[in-house]
Amino acid sequence: MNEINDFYLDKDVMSLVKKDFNKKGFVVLDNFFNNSYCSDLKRLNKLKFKESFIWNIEKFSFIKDHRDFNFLSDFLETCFGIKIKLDFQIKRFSHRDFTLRHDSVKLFNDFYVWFYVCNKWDESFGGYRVFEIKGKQFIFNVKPNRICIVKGDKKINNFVKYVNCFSGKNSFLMVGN
Amino acid sequence: MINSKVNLEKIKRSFSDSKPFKHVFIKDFLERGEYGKTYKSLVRETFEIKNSDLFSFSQTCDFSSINHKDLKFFYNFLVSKEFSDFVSKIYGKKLKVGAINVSGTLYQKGDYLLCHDDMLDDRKIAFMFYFSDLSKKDGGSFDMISLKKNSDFGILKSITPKENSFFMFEVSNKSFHQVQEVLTDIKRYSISGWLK
Repeated sequence: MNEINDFYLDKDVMSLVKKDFNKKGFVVLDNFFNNSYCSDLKRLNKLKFKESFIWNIEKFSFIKDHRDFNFLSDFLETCFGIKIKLDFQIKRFSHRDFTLRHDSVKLFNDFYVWFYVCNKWDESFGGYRVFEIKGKQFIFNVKPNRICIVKGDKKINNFVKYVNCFSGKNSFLMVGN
Repeated sequence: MINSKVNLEKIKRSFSDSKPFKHVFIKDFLERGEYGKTYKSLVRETFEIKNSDLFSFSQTCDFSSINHKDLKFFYNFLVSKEFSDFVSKIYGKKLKVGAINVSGTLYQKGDYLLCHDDMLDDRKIAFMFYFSDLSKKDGGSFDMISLKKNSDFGILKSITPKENSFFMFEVSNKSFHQVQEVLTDIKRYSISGWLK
């Protein structure tokens, strides 16, 4: 788990994170990775992305990368006591990209885990991920080096808000499930 | 209310021959005086920001509860037999008297409506009156989209809103459309609703 900021590997911090997660059903951890791993992740941007565009479902770019995220599985197991096989995708969102909530795309995961790789991002650009849990909306804003973990449920629906023209040439990577 | 120069026979033909789904776009639709009064009242209305996975825009209250007398007058026209008869003649089928879910919409820079088909609650016709003059560089066009994966795929036709124009289309499982994101500081005003 050398990739993770030492702060989050402290037993007392892990205990607080677990408590928060059990209470709310989700947790957002900022400055999650250490600096060298952050720089390493930014290299993903240099890879060749392919577009996925289905008019009434989604638009973004993605790559299939065989990067090893086992250290994250280890962290989740140590922190939350959960064993999870992470099947991560690397998606890039820029102007005009989105995903819609769609009845035919009912994903059901025990846990949703994803992190953001970007330089700068403003909430007004869109791109934030929204989870609808029991009729309530929870917004997970894009922020560099932020990881989000959400407890899954059959009734959960989620989407990524359309990235509007205020984003200019900025983009972000969403790595996770 | 409707401009006497509007040629119904020409419009009927245009509607029935249109693709990718039945629609018609009519310029200079309302009598100039009625258009001006409605426009002035509309831009003074309160618009509330609406956001979802599918859209971002601002909207007035439903016109069934509107207070302003000129907008109330316009609403009364939309729920009148005159209006539903006019639309029925174009559509070629009978429609119920009384437009539903009528409201004013404002799209500003960064606002959009993503691709969907409008199929909901037995809606038969969707209509909109445009109160802004846009050009291609502004975005904000109404795009008709085909989801069939053949040569006719994607945006097949775009309507750029013009002031005092009327647009209607038949709601069906083919009526996929979007409002392209507004890219400039222009304000795109419209009044829209449905007929059953």
